[in-house]
Amino acid sequence: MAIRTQFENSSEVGVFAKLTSAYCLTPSGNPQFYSTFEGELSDHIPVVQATFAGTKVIGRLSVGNSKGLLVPHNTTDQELQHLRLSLPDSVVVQRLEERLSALGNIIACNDHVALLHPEADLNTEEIIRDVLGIDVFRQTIAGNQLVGSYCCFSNQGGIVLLFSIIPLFQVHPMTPISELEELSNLLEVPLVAGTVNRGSDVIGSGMVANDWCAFCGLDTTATEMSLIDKILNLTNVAPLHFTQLSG
Amino acid sequence: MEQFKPDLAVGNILCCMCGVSIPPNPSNKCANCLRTQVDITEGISRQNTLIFCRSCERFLQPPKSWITCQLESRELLTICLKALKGLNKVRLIDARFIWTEPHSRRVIVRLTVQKEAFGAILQQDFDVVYVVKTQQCDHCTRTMANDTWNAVVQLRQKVDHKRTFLYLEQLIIKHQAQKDCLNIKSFPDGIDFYFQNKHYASKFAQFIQDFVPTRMKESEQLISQDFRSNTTNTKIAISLNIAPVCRDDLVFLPKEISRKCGNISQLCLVHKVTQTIHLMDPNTMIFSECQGSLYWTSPFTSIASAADLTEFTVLDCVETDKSHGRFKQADVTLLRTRSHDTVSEVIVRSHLGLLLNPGDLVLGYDLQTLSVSDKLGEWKGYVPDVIIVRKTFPQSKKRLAHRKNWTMKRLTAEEGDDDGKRGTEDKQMRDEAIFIREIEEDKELRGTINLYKQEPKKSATRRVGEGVKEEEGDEDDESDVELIELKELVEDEKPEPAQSDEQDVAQMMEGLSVDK
Repeated sequence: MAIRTQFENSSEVGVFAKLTSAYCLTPSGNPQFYSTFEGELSDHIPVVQATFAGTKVIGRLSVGNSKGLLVPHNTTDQELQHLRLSLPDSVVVQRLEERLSALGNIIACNDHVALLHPEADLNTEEIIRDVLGIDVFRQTIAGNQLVGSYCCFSNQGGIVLLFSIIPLFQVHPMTPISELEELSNLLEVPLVAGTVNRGSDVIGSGMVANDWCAFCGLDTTATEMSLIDKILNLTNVAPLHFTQLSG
Repeated sequence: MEQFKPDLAVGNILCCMCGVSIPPNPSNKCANCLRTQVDITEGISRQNTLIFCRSCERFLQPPKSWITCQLESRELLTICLKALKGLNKVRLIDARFIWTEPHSRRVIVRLTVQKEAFGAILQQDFDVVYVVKTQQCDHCTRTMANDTWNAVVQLRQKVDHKRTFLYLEQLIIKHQAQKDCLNIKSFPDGIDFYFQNKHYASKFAQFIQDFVPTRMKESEQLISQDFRSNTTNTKIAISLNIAPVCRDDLVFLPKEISRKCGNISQLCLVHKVTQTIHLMDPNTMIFSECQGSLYWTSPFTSIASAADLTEFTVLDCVETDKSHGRFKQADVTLLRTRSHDTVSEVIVRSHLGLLLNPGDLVLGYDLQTLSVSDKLGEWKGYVPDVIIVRKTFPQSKKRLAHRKNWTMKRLTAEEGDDDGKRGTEDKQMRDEAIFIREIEEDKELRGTINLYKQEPKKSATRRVGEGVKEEEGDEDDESDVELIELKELVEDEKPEPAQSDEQDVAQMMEGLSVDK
């Protein structure tokens, strides 16, 4: 089930939190927001309070999946150290030297595929490939270069037996059908066009999701919730199943 | 070669509120949901007031103008929409009236407006209720409170008939000169017009001066004075004295005037009155004009006027060689139509040579029987037996019946002082009857005033024609007067409330029918 929450009266959950199947990051200094995630996830994955260069907008500044985490180049050593200590050993944490330092906005990924801002450095592409261990595609979503802001997808890496990765995804609502199909083929996940936060189309900023859980803004309507649940396949999954497999 | 055509179809998304599949829009809500969220009519007042003057039945168009308009009319809608606040923030698509009972004093307008909200254009219908409140307009307030006039034009003519005023009345109505007038009072020898200030009064006086020779005298009466601010409050009276000489009058000119008017005979006929007096001597065919200024140096009065005219029948008409404009001199043999003598033929010179044929009727002054001023007796000039004034026509049935088809408007004048009022009713009717005959017989005169179409009515409201001699029976149609043509009549506009009272008086005119 998707869960509604808000950060200091803002419904833009994706701006402030980072959620993958292996860990969850929330900004330090807001116990209420942290406890929402902790209550839901702490049994399965670590929920870590963090900052990047002292800012709270960690969801927009970092990008990661269950294998790694890329943080902006201005992250202090201390913050980096804290992350390395808090996250599981299997997660590689690395700084990324990129002109477009809001990594969350320019990169969208799951455990298999990453979409990248078309104007990002070549170096960035390589590092993503190395650190996160996935394929990188330079893409736009409905003409929007900020792929990270306008989409949110996950995967269910463990269900190999069903020979399909069922990562989950939502795309910017102006996406033409052909582009939606193209993306769907690229990511090998079913995609649907939708909104969060009562009609907001910045999906990446409005919600975070992993394979069994999603958090969205407090403004999200029941219709949007049901769509998220359906496409992210959140209704009948038990988190235990995933953690056992990944563990 | 086949060209690549990208598929630009945009898929549908679900409305974030209700889950209906819709094309994406900036708010990502369906129109219905958007409507529940946004009220585009916010800020438009739903309850308003219209101000209505009960006495003149006009609506106030803020800030100051009062407009006559029917319920559910275009004009009223304009006033309604102008009264509506906040309408400039939306786009008005449609506005229409919803019928309401007039006595409810409510006017309901249904508006359709459009406005952009969240990138989508929303359209909404809504009703605005106007409560009609009554308030007296400036004009009515002034009329109700009688002492508000500050200037008066006193129009006077010292003659024993009212024909000049009847004609001036029609001119005033035609030119709407009375529109600034607060009140009109009629007096035995004239009319007073009351105005709010001097400006209107002088404008009106100027108007009158354009049509008749007048002498103007202006006087001020001090009402109050404020020494501190050096202001005074005065009432102004403009006295307009109209020369007591009318069309068709017979005048005996003072010597100096006759000399200044081209040595015209002292005994002559007034054939027209405008700003100047147009004089004519049928014997010599001298035409001359007497300017108003000249007239007032030594004023003269008429020695005989329209009431003294006698009817004659033309027996013979022989043209002479003198002519002037439309007029040609002729020697005319006349017979008194209503004479007690057996045979009394007269031969006179007349200027109507072109018009007269044997058998025609003419009106003229019979100087043999008429008692005229002594001055004429002492005068050594030539005094003809009869002076023919104009051709006339019998009062045929057809002509009388035709009078039902047209009407004139009248001014409403309240009676002034009652002195000398007794017995003037008959005189008034006689003057009106003569005026109507003149209108019918003189096309040129008709052209200067407005006659209105009238649906013939079965019952005549009042008989005015009693004083008129009626000739019935054996006259043939050919000698009949040329009837007023339909195209000369003005379509009467719907009575404006402000002037509606004039209409009723106009009905008086139709009473001249003869029912046998």
